[in-house]
Amino acid sequence: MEKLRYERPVVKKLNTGMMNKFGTRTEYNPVTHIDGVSVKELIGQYGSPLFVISERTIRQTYQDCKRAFTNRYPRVQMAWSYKTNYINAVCNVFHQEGSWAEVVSGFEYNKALQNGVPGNKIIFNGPDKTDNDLKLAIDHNSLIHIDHLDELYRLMEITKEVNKRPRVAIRVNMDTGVYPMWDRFGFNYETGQAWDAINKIILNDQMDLVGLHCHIGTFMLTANAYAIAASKLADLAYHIHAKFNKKITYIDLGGGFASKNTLRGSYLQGNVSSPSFDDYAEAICSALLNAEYSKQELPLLILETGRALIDDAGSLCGTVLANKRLSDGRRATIMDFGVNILFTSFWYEHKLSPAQEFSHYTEDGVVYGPLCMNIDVIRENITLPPMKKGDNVVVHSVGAYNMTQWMQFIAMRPNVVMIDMDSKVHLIRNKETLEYINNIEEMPAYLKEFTLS
Amino acid sequence: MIKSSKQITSLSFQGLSNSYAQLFLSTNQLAGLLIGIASFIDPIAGSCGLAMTLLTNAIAYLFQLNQAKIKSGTLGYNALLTGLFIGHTFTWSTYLIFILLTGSILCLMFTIAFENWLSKKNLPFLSLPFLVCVWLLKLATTGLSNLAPNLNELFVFNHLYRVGGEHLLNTYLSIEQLPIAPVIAVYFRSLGAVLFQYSLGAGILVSIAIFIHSRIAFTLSVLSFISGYVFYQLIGANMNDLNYGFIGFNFILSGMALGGFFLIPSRWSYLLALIIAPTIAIIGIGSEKILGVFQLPLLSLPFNIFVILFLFFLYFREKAVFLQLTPQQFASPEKNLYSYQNKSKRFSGYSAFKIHLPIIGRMRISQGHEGKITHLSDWKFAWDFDVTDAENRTYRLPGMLVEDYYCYNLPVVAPAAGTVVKIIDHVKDNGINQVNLTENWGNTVIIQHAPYLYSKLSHLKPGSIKVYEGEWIALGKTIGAIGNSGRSPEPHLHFQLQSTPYIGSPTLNFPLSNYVQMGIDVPRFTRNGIPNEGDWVENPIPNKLLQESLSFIPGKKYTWQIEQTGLTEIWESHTDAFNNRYLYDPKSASFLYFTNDNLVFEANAFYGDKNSLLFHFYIATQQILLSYYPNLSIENPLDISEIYKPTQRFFQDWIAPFYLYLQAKSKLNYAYFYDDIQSPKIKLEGSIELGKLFSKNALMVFQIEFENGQLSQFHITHNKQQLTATCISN
Repeated sequence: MEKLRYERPVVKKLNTGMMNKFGTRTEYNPVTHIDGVSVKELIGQYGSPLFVISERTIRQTYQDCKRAFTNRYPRVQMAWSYKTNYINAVCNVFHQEGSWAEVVSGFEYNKALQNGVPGNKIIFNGPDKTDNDLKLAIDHNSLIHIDHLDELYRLMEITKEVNKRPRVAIRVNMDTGVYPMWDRFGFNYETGQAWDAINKIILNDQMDLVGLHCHIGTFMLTANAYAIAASKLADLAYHIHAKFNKKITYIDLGGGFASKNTLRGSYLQGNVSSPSFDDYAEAICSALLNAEYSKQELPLLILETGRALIDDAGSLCGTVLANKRLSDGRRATIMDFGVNILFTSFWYEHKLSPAQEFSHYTEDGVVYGPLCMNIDVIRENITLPPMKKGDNVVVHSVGAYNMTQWMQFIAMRPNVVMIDMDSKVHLIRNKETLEYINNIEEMPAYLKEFTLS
Repeated sequence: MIKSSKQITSLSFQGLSNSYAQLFLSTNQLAGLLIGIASFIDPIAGSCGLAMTLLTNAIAYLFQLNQAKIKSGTLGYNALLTGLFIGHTFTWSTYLIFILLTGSILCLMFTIAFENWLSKKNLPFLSLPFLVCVWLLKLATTGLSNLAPNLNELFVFNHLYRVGGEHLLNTYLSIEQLPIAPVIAVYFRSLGAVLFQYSLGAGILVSIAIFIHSRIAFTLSVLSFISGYVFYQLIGANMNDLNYGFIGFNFILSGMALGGFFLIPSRWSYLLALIIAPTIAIIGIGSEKILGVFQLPLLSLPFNIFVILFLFFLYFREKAVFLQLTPQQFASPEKNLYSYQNKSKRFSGYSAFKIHLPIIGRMRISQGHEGKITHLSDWKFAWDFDVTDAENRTYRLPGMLVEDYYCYNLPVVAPAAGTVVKIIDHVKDNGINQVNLTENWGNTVIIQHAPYLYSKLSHLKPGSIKVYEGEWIALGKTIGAIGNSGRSPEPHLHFQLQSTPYIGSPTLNFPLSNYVQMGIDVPRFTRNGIPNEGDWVENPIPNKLLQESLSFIPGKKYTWQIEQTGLTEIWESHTDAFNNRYLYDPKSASFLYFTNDNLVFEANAFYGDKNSLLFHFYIATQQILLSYYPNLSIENPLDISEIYKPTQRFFQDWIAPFYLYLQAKSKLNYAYFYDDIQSPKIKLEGSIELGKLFSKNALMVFQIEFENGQLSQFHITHNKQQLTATCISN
């Protein structure tokens, strides 16, 4: 028989409430395995902290989302939002599933090209496209989504230079009844900016306006906003056809679907408050089917969903560095991962699970990262079972944005592994090393030598 | 209207030749010519027949009757028979001209009358006009002394000597005294008797004509004659009837008509040709007694009565398991058979009313027809739909709520246009694994699509129904959402067709149209069929490029430039009075008939020059789904009479009703698709594959390219010859 595990005593404030013979229980279950692979073994082999990506979850989530739309609308295309997670292996899982690429910079554009995405299946978004980026995109026949008039003017000049007709769409922003209204990107619908841009593009006749794009916000907690956006874009497309006899062949509703994470300050848990793919699909597809398009000419619906597709597939495995008690009596646990690699802890109340068995006793506390910075807080308030130094934890749903927005700050960025469909582990990004960092630094000759006395 | 004299000559020649050929149910010109020659063994009969045919066709032309019918000999062959009879009965005199003229008019009018009376019942008028004319003439001319009887028949030798001297007489005798078995002689004489030529030579000529026209018809003529001959031997009836009384041909003609002309040749039709003799004999012997009272000849009456009676009888079958009626008459048993075999393979189960899947996107048939769970007895022809994930689960974990089920709340759409006749929208969704046996169909919509054709969609989500009773809805209109009401332990859609408008009506076995089965190695398209349990199916999404390219709007012209020869070919798109659509190439006078319902393009018939580009296009585009699925492969059998030359199928013709060893099929593969946003390009590749007794080979390989919203290129490799045609204008 295994030796009983020692758990330190906990101090807990008593709450009055309904009597309950079970006492207060925790929501936690230990998570000892991810996709059948032991967390301890993963950490043993690849070090701690460690990002773990489940290919199975990516594919399941993708198929769940795609199905919700294709069972409601006949023409649907997903485009993988590179900025959400552009580790090549992750991107290629999406491309294998049939996703195009949605990029917002020359760097991402080239990454997509190098991953093997055909140029005509890359959507180029964002306010920052350099002349070279635009030329490259025109050359590869990509879909260029114009963000502002200055970009439109520049594109007209470049078009003359290269003597090619690019395929473009404009990004439209609009009031969909949600706050905040994202009006910093694209052309406004209500004030007529969108029509201004459309008129300029079509009358100028140097490029083909093939689509309309919008991206109404992020982590949208109401599906209805998408219905409004879809019908406004469909309306715009219909009137473009009426005015110029030009068919708008696709409507790109961008991303912004909420994942199951819980937003900071949210009363309800994310998995309760976030709409499901079916909810979004129902709103968008019925709005498009009810728009003034004829049944034969339904536009292609493009979705650039990022967060909701990858969040659940990513986990962060880490290790307890230390426990301490704060002056107010709360327990503080210091982990070996901080906001430098778990950037999303600024937004989310991440769910943490211990990676080993524990009893049902829990204690309120704070979870800190290892950085020598006051802002490095993973969870302000959390109820956790007591853990010892060296114990492991798994942070759930960290697949989106962390592996792109992470910082090389104080410590190095860790390994990233992917667990494939057969529960085999693949290293998909090496942890950074001192050499890697130093390699790109230059030392002026006169600074090479110094003496400390 | 025909204007030039050249066209009139062509019309009268074809009308004449076909009139002769039609006597033996053919339109073969060579056969017509041989039969014509045979009819001149007795020159008076022959010339009267010729004169009367020309006269009748001329009258028909003057009165502007349908020229197609003049051309096909339909209006002429009864006149030909009447003329032959007159010439056979009377000898030349000026009065005869009067008789011929009256006879022509009378015969034409009777032809029109019988045609219109019988064609309404889909029956042939055969030689009824001739019989009526001849009997009237016979009765009217009895005792008219100015009309001298034609005695050539009685004094054949004298006559021949008078006309052609000793030489002709010897030739005639050498033929008539050919050392052949009496039974064969009777066969030939019977054939000659159709033309009122009582001679072996005429019969031989006619049998050669039949042989040239069709191997099947020839076989049938022999079979039916033998059966008649044997029957007469058995009952000991007067063989002279067969021999002298012009009776024998009734067996032959009936066998040919039923065995291979009005019916598709088959082992059953051959059997029929073998066993009809007694019935025809009874009709003949019986009616001869009646006619005898008036001293009227029996002629082809038994043939007429029996064929028309039998066809009429066949129309009342509820199901034609054997002895199939010829759907399209090509006046050739072989062509009828090959075409029927091809069309029945291509269009079997074809439903005039198209019912589609009631879903958007791809779903799984969780229970099919005669499913083991609930699709039993009266309700066995139904389908259940649900959705599973890669792990084969129908739900997201934990699957305790209806919302966890992938198919829950998915839209249900109208499977075809129709009127909503019944709605139930108040039954609550069950919990998982619970069933509601009192309101077992749950929330339901019933739509009437056609008289006695209803569809029923059940187990819908309460409150989701978006249509109202009495509303007319279009195909694909969203009518509600999948729920879990009624006898439904987990969310799914129940879909059935029925012939009555009630909830609980028994199901109707009716095919679904135009669905694609996915989730297998390559997608499979079904034009009409019953999807099976476990199949993943979807309604194909039309591809605009394919739709536009193959729309062939009437009035448009398509000019093709052929690279290797430098020639051009122009296709004109037309539509005829019956809304049939066709492409016409004026240079080669070729027609390609097609249908296009915006989802499937089908090339259905071709008439004209088989060297034309249009013919190659016809065999390449037998069926094109106007939706792009990578690697989709569509196979269609080809009509072998269109692919193999007559010489190549000479042996096949003999055994065609029993076994087909020649095969041909057209294969089409969806090979390449570039970008559906701006300027899509699609390439379809295919081949024509031939299957002979022990070998298989590709006759032709082709590619069809679509670009800029139109057909752009058609590339053919045929016998190592390359042909690249580019559509240069449309």
